[in-house]
Amino acid sequence: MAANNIVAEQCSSSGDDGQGLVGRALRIAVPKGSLYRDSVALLADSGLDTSGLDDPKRQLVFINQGVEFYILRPTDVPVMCAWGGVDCAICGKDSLLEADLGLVELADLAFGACRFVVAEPEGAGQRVDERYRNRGVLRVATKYPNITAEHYRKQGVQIEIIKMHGNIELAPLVGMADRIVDITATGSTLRENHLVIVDEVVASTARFVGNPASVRIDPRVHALAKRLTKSVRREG
Amino acid sequence: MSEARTARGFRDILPTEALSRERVCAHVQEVFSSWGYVPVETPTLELASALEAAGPLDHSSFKLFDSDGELLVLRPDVTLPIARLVGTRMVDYQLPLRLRYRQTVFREARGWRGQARAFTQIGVEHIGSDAASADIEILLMLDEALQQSGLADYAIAFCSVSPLRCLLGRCCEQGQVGGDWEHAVLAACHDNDLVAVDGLSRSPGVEVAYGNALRALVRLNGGAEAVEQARAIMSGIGGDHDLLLLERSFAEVSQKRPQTRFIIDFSVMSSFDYYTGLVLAAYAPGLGIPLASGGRYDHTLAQFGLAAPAAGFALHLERIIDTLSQDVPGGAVCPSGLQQAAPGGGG
Repeated sequence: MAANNIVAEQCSSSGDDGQGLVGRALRIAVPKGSLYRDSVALLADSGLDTSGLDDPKRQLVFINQGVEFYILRPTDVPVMCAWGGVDCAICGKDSLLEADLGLVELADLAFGACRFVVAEPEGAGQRVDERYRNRGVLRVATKYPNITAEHYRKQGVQIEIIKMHGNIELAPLVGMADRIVDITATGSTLRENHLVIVDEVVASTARFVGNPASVRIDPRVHALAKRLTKSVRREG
Repeated sequence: MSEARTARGFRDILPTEALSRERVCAHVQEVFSSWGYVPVETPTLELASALEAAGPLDHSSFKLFDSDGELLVLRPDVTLPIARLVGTRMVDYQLPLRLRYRQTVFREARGWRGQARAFTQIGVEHIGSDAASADIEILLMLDEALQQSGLADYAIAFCSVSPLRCLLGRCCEQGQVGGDWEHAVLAACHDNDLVAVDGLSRSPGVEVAYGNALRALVRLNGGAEAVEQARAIMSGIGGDHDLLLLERSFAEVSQKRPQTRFIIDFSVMSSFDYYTGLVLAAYAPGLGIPLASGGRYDHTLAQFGLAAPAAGFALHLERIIDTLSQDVPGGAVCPSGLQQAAPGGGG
């Protein structure tokens, strides 16, 4: 770990008092789950003091030298950042799109790559088309109602959305929905449940984001974005 | 009892808060008045077709039909209604016009996020001058209003949209990209999605030098040196005159208000796409959304019948009150017990 962390370095170079304009440590939200390990590694690589984050147990807040980390579910990151509860965050593009809260996306961190896809049961294509012809509307199960609605709106296809919170694959298997919109990294869960991809919606990777206020008035946010981008390039 | 409630995002205001709102309003209006601004009022409900003269309405506006079958809209902002008012009823007045207002605006918002759907805006419109002095007047008055409202800690970020528009124009002239690409870049800027801007800057048909300039420009943030950097980025591309104006504005407001933190930030693009020059936003630490926002809109009034340049801004009263009462998320302080309980932390 770099002895001089980025926060101190940035503040001395900008003639600040070590706490930035906001007069406190920089607050960063870190998503738990599949993006967590890569996020922590990248933050450490960019020179931040990430002590304690490698094994957080049940602790949600880590107050380190010049920086505070808040650990929360990826889908909750955008709203916390938008309210100003944290200055900046690492968050998947999927959660950002779904939340649509106007956070400033500063850098593509390249990890956590996945795709939003439309899938249906193997061999169901004709049946789905027929249902759409007869009913004039498709039933689509998803964890991401906003992204799904936007995708089908652009395609001019009318749908009814069934919001689920997990194991979306089940919906078409029991006949509750015609199709699903979900994220997939390798497609293996879909394959194992006999679903096939019929359309691509959008690709997602982890992003470094800030709320508009912090991005504009706190130089530490842009500085961290630069360091993270450099770390990503080194690894890439 | 359960039905005796207010609709989501609308609330009653009790005397203590109402008094502090009244006080802030009075101080701010006094500032505007001292600069020669006079009050106007516009109707709460507008004909949707009237406001659409300036472009399609945002989907976030509340709409309803009246008994005449007219589509009405609860005003989603004040600038367009004032442009309509001036263009239809104040054409004989001597320019420049200096107008001020305090009105509620209504915007639809999705549930479960704690967002209000009614906001009180206190603002000004300076109509009939595109002189640099008008931009400076707007910036100085915003600073004075924020100060008089009692805020101790805030920053005013501003820039001009002209260099970006100039750069995009050059990309289209010199490269193989067209209006769709330009529209996509502006949309990405409005969405604050700099990663999407990066992607678009590398589109086939965009000259590499211009692509580099675009990525650098939208990330520019700082003091007077940011204008210097913008000049280096835009060298050989254009926008010299706009950068000179920006530099002068920055120098003058910084000199007149040395205590205030003014920031040049080229990512300050409002969700309204009618701005043509100056764009500004004021922020308080810990509050993720702006205290005030505004800019120059030189082409909007023409759509309402009066070809005149204009600029203005609005303060968001509720956000100022929240900040004054330190009722902002980022201002919250972690319980001290939590700090001591951090075994790996503490540096």
